[in-house]
Amino acid sequence: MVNVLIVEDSRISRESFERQLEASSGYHVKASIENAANAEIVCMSSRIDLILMDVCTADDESGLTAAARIKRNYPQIRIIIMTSMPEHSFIRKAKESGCDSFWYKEQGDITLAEICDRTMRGEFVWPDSSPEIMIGMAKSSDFTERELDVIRALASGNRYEEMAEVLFMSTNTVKYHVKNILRKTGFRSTIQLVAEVVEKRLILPKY
Amino acid sequence: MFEKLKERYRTSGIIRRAIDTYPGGICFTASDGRPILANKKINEICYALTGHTVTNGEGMWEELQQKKLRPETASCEDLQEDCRTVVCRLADGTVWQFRRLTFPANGREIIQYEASEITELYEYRARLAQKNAQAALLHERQRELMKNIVQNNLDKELLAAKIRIHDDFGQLLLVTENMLADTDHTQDAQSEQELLASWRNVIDDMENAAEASSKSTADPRDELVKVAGMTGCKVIFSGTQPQERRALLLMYAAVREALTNAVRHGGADSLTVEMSETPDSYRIRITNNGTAPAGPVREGVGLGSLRRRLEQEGAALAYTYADGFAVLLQIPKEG
Repeated sequence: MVNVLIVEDSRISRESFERQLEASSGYHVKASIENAANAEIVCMSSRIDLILMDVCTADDESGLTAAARIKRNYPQIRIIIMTSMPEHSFIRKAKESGCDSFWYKEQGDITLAEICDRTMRGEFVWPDSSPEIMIGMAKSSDFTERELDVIRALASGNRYEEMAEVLFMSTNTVKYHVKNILRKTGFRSTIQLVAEVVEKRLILPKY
Repeated sequence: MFEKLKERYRTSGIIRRAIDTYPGGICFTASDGRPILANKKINEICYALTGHTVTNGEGMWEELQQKKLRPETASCEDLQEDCRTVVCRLADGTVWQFRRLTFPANGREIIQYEASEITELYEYRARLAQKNAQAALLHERQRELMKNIVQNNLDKELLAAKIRIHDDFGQLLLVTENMLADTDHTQDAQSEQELLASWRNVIDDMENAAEASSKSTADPRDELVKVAGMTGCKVIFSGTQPQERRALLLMYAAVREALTNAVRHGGADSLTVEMSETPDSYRIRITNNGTAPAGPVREGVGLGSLRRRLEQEGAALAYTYADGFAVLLQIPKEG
């Protein structure tokens, strides 16, 4: 029997996952919580084999940070990161944290039971890319990695000088990237850009 | 002798004419401020500012520094870079920067006072300051917008879940209607059971959706106590917990870390959190009944990242070893 810990802040989704797992044979939901920061405490006390970890959990605690910590202390636990956010950096961060699989909850190309089975068989199940969305006139895939870094720094509320320091580039290079991003999207201001990328969840700076 | 004096007089005249044609003000004095040479411009500016010409360089400098100026003029302190610079605005609107320099000449110290017109620069600076203030305002609006957007996203997610429940509900209504209309009873008992189970699920979801809407700021204590209980450790709280959400979340981040360490390294089965407050801050003391650390606490990844998070928010983390080991936390209250 695979002992599962579900970390999901939406109670509707949490209980829906509980029902789906309890219905499939071989899984037992050991605990179900809403705050990722509490997940490690559960792992200390109970034998957990698999964690379904949401990224954006209660009180803005990041599932990616919690997963990295759990993988350091309990490397044998399999972790599936799940999200409905198209945030471009989540896949990379989940890989860096040592997670086993990644599931887009609302994409529907693979079911929860299927990803759990494959992960428990030792497979690493990862999507090829984050879902494509439109930001103004540009597709999310139209941005270069560096441009996405600049958008992230902008969305964190940094000034150009602060962005230059964080991104190890000159202020002029930051301005050059911002100009290109605005040209691609057709936006007139960075506020418009930030509002759109956060609203469409291409960037979620807290996680 | 006469020729020598004539030559000297001629040289002095040339120097005077030269400095009088200089567009700025310039004045050389002895170390006690006695003027040796001053051009017309510096006398005019000095008169416009102080009401007299340069009678003593050091006296003029003191008056400028102490802002003993005529009422129609003004000191522009925002442009003063150091103690050797003074900036003033004359009644005609022009802005002048005064600089004081000393240098040796013929074995004695000479002081040079120089006044340069920087009206254009000053206006640029003023416009720049105005633009910076506007940029700061926009920046603040952007930060505020960010905060709201994150909350809007959460609301949107909840709305999407509600829409899904609404769709499921509609679909079930249709299936039920068809089943009730099926007077020939072609549907088997299993289908009826499945329909009933689907109704239960959708009702559960509806109940949860209602609760999720009303519980956006749940108390983090509930879940922490629950997971602590799973480890066999009881968490006892005394005092009133912080009212501010930010302070509350910081406190629980620290309690969580203390709990992890107390159980993992100290084998504790009881953790006590004492909460108190001063007019400016919340003070938290966390103790446990496990084995105390043998020496000073060595901060690893967990405590290190907790300290960074606390310090970013202006809070402080400390440990005390006297009278048992305790983790101490001080979180400033918001303005």
